[in-house]
Amino acid sequence: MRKFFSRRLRELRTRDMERKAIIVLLIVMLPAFAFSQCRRFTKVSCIPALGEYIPNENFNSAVLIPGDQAELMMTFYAGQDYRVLICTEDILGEVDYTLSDESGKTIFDSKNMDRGFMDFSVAKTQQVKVNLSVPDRPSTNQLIHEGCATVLIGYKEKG
Amino acid sequence: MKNISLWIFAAALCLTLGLTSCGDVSKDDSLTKANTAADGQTEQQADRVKKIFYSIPSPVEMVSLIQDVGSRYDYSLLNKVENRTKYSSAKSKAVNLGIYGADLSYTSVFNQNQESILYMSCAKQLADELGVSSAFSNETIARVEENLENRDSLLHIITETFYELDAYLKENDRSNISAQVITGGWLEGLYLASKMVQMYGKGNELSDRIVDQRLALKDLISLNKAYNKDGSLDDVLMDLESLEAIYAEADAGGSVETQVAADGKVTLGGSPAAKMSDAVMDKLIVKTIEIRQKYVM
Repeated sequence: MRKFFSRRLRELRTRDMERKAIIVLLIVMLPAFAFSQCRRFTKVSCIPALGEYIPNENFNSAVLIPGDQAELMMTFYAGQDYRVLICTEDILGEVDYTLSDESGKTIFDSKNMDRGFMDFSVAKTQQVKVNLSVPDRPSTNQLIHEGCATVLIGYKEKG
Repeated sequence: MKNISLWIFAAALCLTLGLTSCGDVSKDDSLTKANTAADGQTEQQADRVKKIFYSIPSPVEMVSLIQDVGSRYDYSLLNKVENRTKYSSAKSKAVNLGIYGADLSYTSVFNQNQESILYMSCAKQLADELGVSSAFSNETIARVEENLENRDSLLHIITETFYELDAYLKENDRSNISAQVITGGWLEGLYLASKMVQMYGKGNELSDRIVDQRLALKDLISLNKAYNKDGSLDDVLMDLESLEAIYAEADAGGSVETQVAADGKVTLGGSPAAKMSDAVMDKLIVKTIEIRQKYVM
């Protein structure tokens, strides 16, 4: 009888250890997989939307979760046309974004837009700021929805 | 025994993932603290940071302007392909990968097919040596060869290739190498424009673009500082800051005013641009050439 209980106890411990190992693996693997998918997501789902605009060479992508914010600074040259594209995975929901000029004035606000990109010309070279904000969502459990967000910039000579 | 094996397997897998996959962006060096914990948030949510990116205009934007202003193609200005074997440290390889990338954009903008293949090959070899061969795949090389006659397609392929390279480096916690590649590309663009201004004179669109680089330089310095955790970018930063000191002598220009035309087309700015005296411009050109010469050797 004692042997039976002892064996049973060992089996339970083993199962517990296995469960813990699986949890550790999941915790480590999920963010890594999510981020490694970011490059592919950008390549497949975002870059084609730049159309005839030549993409900038900098990779501006991050794995975000509800409540996260991101900011991008870049210089835009006079005499050129630009497309700034905000590309996010559906799991993040409706990501808010704004684009402000050198004076801090908001030029584009996603709340007033019906498309995911901003096209504009530049008459004077200046620094432009893009702000992204993932809406906070109350969670009923401990699961956090994370997804990729990318800011793409394309340019073309003024037509 | 079974338990130990399981834990060893888990540890090995974690280590492998840590080494091979991209780093979690929450650990990104460029991030600055912004968010604070709020009641009810999980530990992961509470420890989030605001992600700040500094994006630098691609060299192709500079070399396109060089062609637009009517400059003649000059192969002698480019970093010699034979120099490639001189680069032994990771830093010199990374900076010169950026330099060769800008040279590749230059040859492509001017439809110099033979030279474009040479510079593509140089960039590929340096990328291979830096362990970033995936960006310059055989498929990419084949696409370049197929599109040699189509300037716009070629520029798309080149910028996409360097975008892939940057993505790979950032995903693999090698952002300091990425910063060096970007710095090399930016510096070569400035160098080529400077040489053109020396040859064709000031007071044109190209010299205005050189003046405008003060803004991109500001972002480039911020980017290098963000990725300089181990001090590996100290030298690069010192060089960039020496250029910044010269730019500080220029007039920053007027404030901007954004206009929205009746058809909804938005135009950013329109007020007086930044200005630089001839003496300051000369000083800047000399310094740019000196720094670039130090990197190409």
